[in-house]
Order: sequence, then structure tokens, then C-alpha cells
Amino acid sequence: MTRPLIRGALAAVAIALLSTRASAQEFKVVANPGVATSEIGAADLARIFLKQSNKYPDGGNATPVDQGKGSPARAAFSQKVLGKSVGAVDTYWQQQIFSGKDVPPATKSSDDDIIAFVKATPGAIGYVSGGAATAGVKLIGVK
Amino acid sequence: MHARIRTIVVAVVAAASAATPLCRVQAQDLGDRLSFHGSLIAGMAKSDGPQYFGISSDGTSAYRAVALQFGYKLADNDRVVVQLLHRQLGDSPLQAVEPPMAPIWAFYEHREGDWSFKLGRNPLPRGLFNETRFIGTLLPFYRVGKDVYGETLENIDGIVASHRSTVGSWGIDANLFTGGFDIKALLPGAAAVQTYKVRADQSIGTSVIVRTPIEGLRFGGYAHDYQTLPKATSPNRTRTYMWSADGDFEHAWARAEYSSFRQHSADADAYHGWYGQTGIKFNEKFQVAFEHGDATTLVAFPAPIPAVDLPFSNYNGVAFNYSPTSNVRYKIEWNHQEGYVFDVPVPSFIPPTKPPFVMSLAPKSQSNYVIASVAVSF
Repeated sequence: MTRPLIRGALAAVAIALLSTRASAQEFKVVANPGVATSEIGAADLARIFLKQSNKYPDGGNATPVDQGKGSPARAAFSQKVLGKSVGAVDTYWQQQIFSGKDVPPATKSSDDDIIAFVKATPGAIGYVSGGAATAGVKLIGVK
Repeated sequence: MHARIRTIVVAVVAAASAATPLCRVQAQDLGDRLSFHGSLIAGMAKSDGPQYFGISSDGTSAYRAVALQFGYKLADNDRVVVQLLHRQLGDSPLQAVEPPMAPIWAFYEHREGDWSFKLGRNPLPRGLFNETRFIGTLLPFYRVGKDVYGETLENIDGIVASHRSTVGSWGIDANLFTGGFDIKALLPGAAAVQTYKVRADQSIGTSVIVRTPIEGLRFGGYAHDYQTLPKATSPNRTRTYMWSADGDFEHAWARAEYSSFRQHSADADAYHGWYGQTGIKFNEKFQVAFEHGDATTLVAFPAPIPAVDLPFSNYNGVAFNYSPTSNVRYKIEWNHQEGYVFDVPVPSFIPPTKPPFVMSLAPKSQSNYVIASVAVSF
């Protein structure tokens, strides 16, 4: 009686661990190698991507770059870092654009384009899918 | 000869190969500097009473607003933005003062830290929706709360200085502005309704939006003092205020805004109006909204007849919205409008025939109208 219960519980824990691992791999945050920060809080990162701040917490200039709207990495990043769905973030940008306040960050259509932009742009910060190669850019930890 | 041709071909191919990445980089750079956005709301509308805001009992399909915005980033902290607007309001008399297409914004912006300075024809930070009043994907109804926003103060020719700050988990967006703007309105008369367009200038004002630690909850205030031109016929300056409260949460929202206008020499408001709006978001696609609005204007008469506060507008509306994506919104709305200001003359005052010479009000006219519209933005 107890064995199936224990087995079930272990299986549930294993699935939970696997899904946590999978979600941790959904995106990686990358920055230009010249960026001094190597770890950033999710709230600070959200402020940079919503253009509520154009600086890293250490004071350096930040230039965010986004993935295209259909990208799974963007969906995961929006939900986990910005705390909103891609649609809600889009509505936020409509409000910013049409109130004359700002326009969204530059958008690139692939991981390779993000890496190329981040590598070439001082202060740039972006995100790529978990499996993307990140040679030439700096991996940033998200607290 | 052949060798010479081969040399030229090789040189051309080499030059082209070298130039291609350069062109790509320049094109990419240009793409990052240029921005282009647009918005369209188009609808059909019909009323069952006196024509209101261009909507007659015959119905109209000429009901739309188109905004096109072009931006160019000159440098990291400098940009230029132009937004063009075209509006068609059915058979509204306001079309007489509405150009087919006009630059509602054309400004240069410089940023310095948390400060932004805009020069030119700028969006006017008035209330919650002034800058986005024509963007259908951001509004549950076709129009923004009309008894508060009206057809005036859409933008300001001059300077707008803005500052964004955060104090703990509170946020403050503050603005200071000076310049001129257009005032447009309908002037009802016994025989005809006239359109009115004048220039206001030498204005100075401020607005503040306070974002609270509760995400989605914010409050705002706005004060603006201006001179209507020409000064010879309008010697008194006017002061206008606006107060806003907005709670926009995951599954519902509620908001209210109040606005008033008063001349410096007067001891009563020439105009005051408010609206309240609430709604339910069933999910990201479906929502229903309810709105009530009310406005009163002071109407003066020759002595000895005292001025009368005319309750000129009172309305209720309900709107159903369906948004398959955040860029598209279908709306169907019903509004009940009553009062004394329509596109056509309606009875308003009954003149006194004997002492004490007090004007009495005629029964309010009424109109129900329906608007079906689709809004798109990119």
C-alpha cells in the first residue's frame, strides 16, 4: 500500500525536478563582454527591458535587445522576468509608443542575430534559448 | 585586353563583396534607428435619436481614426517623432474643423538621465488617456471618456519637460509644459449647431501621475492655465484641472476622471465633467466595460436673468471587446446619450415670460447609438 505511494511521490519529485531544470534552460541572458555586471536581479532586468531604466545597477549604460514575438525564449523571458505574457508586454509597448514616451527595444529574429548584436554593441543585453551557443558574449546570472 | 577585363571584373566583384557587409551593417543600423508604428480604428454606427457625434439615425460607415507614427533616433538620447492623424466622424459638424490629415505630433526629444525634454508639437500629458485617445487597441470604447477629454487639449506646441522617479516601491511621473493648443467644440444654438475652433496660448501647466506599490493602481493630477486668443475678445485667462484614479488589475479595472474649466474672474466653473468606467477581463481575449459620464456647463444670459448650470451631457455605455491578439480588438458598444448638446439643434431653455425671470430647462433630448468597430495597431 505504502510502496506505490512512495513510488508515486518519488516520480512526482523527479518530474518536478526535471521541469524545473527544463524551465531553467528555456533562456539564457547574455551581455556584451564589456558589461561589468555578471549577475542581475530580475526586477532590475525587467526595468531595463521595459526601458524604465537605461542603466545596469552598477551604473553602466544598458541597451536591451528582444527576440521576435513568436519565440519560445521570449515567452519564457516575458513570463519569468517581466512577470507578464508576451501580449501584455505588447500592450505596454503600445501605450509607450502611442503616448510618445518610447519605442520597444530592437528585435532580432534568431539567437544568432541576438548574439551578433550583443557582441557588437557596447552595453547590450539580450537573451537566447537555453541550447544556443554563446561564444563571444558574457553569460549573466539572474537572481 | 582580356587580362585587363579580368582585372576589372575581379576588382568589381571584390569591391561588391567588401561593400555588401557594409551595406548590411548600415541597413541594420538604419533599421535600429528608424521606427514606424500605426493604428487604425474603423467602425459603423447608428443611432435612434438626434444625431450625436456624427452618428445619425440613417447610420454611418464613415467612422474611423488612423494614426501613423514615424521616429528616427539621432543618437542614444535624441530622437525625432512625427505622428499623423486622419479622422472621419460620420456627418459630424466637427469635420468642418478637422483637417483630412494633420501632424498631431512633431517633436524633437532629448533625454538626460531621468529627464526628457520635448520641443515642437508634443503629446500633452493630461489625464490617463490624452496621448492615446485615438488608439483603439488601448481603449474599451470607441472614444475615450468624452465628458472629460472633449475635443481639446490634444497636444501642445511648445516644450514638455518630464521626469520619472522611483521612491521605494512608489513611482512618480511628473511633467511641466508651456505653449499653445487648439480648442474645438460644438456650440448649440436654437436654429443651428456651430463648430468652434480657437487658439489658446501663453499656457503653463503641470501634471503628475503617482504609481502606488499596488501594481496597476495609480492616481493623477493636472493643472493648466492658458489665454484664449484673441485677447481682445477673451481678456480673461482660463484655468483647467483634472483628477484621475485608475486601478487596472489582472481580471478587472475601475477608473474615474474629473475635469473642470474656470475663468480667472469667475466665481463658478464654466464647465465640469467626469466619467467612471469599470470592466471585467474574462481572459486575455474577452472583456466587458461599463461607463457613465456626466457634464455641466454654465450658461450666461443677459441681466436680469441669472446664469444657469446646464446639465448638458449624461450618458451610459456598455462595450464588449474581443482581442484575438494584443494588436487587434473588435468592439461592439451601446451608448445612451441624453442632454442638450447634439449635432442638431434640440430644445434647451424655456425663456421666462414673467418675474422672477428665471430660465427653465426643456426636457432632455435622448439618443441611443451603437458602434461596431475594429481596431488594429502595429
